[in-house]
Order: sequence, then structure tokens, then C-alpha cells
Amino acid sequence: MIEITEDVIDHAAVTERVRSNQAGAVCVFLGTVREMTGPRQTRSLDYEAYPSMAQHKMAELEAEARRRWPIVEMAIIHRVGHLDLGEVSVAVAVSCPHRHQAFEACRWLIDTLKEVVPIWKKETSADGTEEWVHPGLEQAPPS
Amino acid sequence: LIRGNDLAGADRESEIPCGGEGPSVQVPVRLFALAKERAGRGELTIEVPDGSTVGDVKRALVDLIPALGPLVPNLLIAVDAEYASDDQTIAPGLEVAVIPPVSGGSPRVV
Repeated sequence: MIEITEDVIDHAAVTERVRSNQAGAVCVFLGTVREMTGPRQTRSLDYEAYPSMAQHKMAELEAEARRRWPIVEMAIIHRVGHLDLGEVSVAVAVSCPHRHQAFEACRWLIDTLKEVVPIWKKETSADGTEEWVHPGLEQAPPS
Repeated sequence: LIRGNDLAGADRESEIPCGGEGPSVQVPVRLFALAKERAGRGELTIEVPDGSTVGDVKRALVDLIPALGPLVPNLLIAVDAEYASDDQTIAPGLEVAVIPPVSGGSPRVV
């Protein structure tokens, strides 16, 4: 199951959704809004998606993960909009016959999602400044 | 709608397979995150000569919105929801999107 939502992610429900008698292992990853990044204090994050492409890319990730591992059930849910500290921004849940498969698949899915799925976050710091998180991009204002 | 039609200029002609005199196509472009913020809008339409490439569209975007210039080396372009390389030809009717780096790093475009 692939979903982009503005609603709070019910991670217990996501976990239940992938549980199966065919699986001996369920692995769930939650991405949550962290307060401190080194000395920088975050107040909140705002996530923006390119919805149709994000949905398409996540479906490709599901297909590739199912080719690589014997996945019984899986779910990827990404939240967009305004998130406060501690809230869940993304949930990846995978069930497999054995735990090493579930761990590997879950890790590959979240790592690859963060590389290829067009979803961005704007960070609001405790001092009120806002900045898009674009690794490698010089963000000095245009002169 | 805002049009960037200065690609027809003679100094660009060598870069455009069909030249500046042939038919042009309207390319709908969506922008996201910092690119949207710098452009001041999330959607626009540019006009480029038929047969233009992703690279041509990038140049037309910067001509239209100079504030995107510093971002361009790090921007990827998606055509019809797939990452596209600079030499890919823009087929009429497909949606083009400007994709700044996502949080986990840069996708590999093959």
C-alpha cells in the first residue's frame, strides 16, 4: 500500500495492516520530526510533495522491493503539510518470512525513498527562520 | 501564462535542433520547494521550439526567471513523472517538473 496523506499517520494501524500468518517478521520504520540537529533547534517541518510523481516513484520502489525480497505485505505512508516535533512524517512497514529479509527490505525502502521520491521539507527553526532542506544546494539569496 | 520565447534568438539557434523558425510547443512546467519559492509560482508555461530538449527547457526557464539560475546545477527535471537527462527531447503534451534535491540526496539519472 502506498499513500501520501495530510492526516496523522496511525503507525499501529500500519503495522497491523502488514501482519500476516505467512510472515515471521514485521519491520516498521518511522521517520519523526527531530528537535536538535547539532546546535540547530527545529520548531517544525513543512513537507511538500509532487503528488503524482511521488506516488509513481513509491509504487516503483514497492515493485523493486518485492522483486528483491519475499515480501508478504508492505506499506509506505508519507505525510505532507505541517508537522510538529515528534510527529511521524513517514512510515515504512514490511512483513517477510524471516527477520533478515524484513530488516533489509525496510532499510532499502526508506533509504531509496529519501533519494528518489520527490517530497521536500522546509524547516522552521526555533528562532523563526525558515529554510528548505536541499542537500548540496547553495541557498544564498539571489543577488 | 508566462512565456519564455527568447529561445528563438539567433545566439541560441545552434543549440536547438529545429532552429528558431520552426513550430514551437507550449510546455507546462511545475515547480516545487525552493524552486517554487524563487520563481514565486508553482506552475507556468514556456514556449520552446519543437524538438527542444530538457537542457533547452532549463535554459528557457532561467531566461524567464533569472532567480533560478544559481539553483540550476542542482536541479533535476522530470518529464511525465520520470527523471530526465538534459539531452532528452521534450514530447508535446507531457508535464515537465523542476525537482530540487530531495532530503536524502540526489537521485541518479541514467
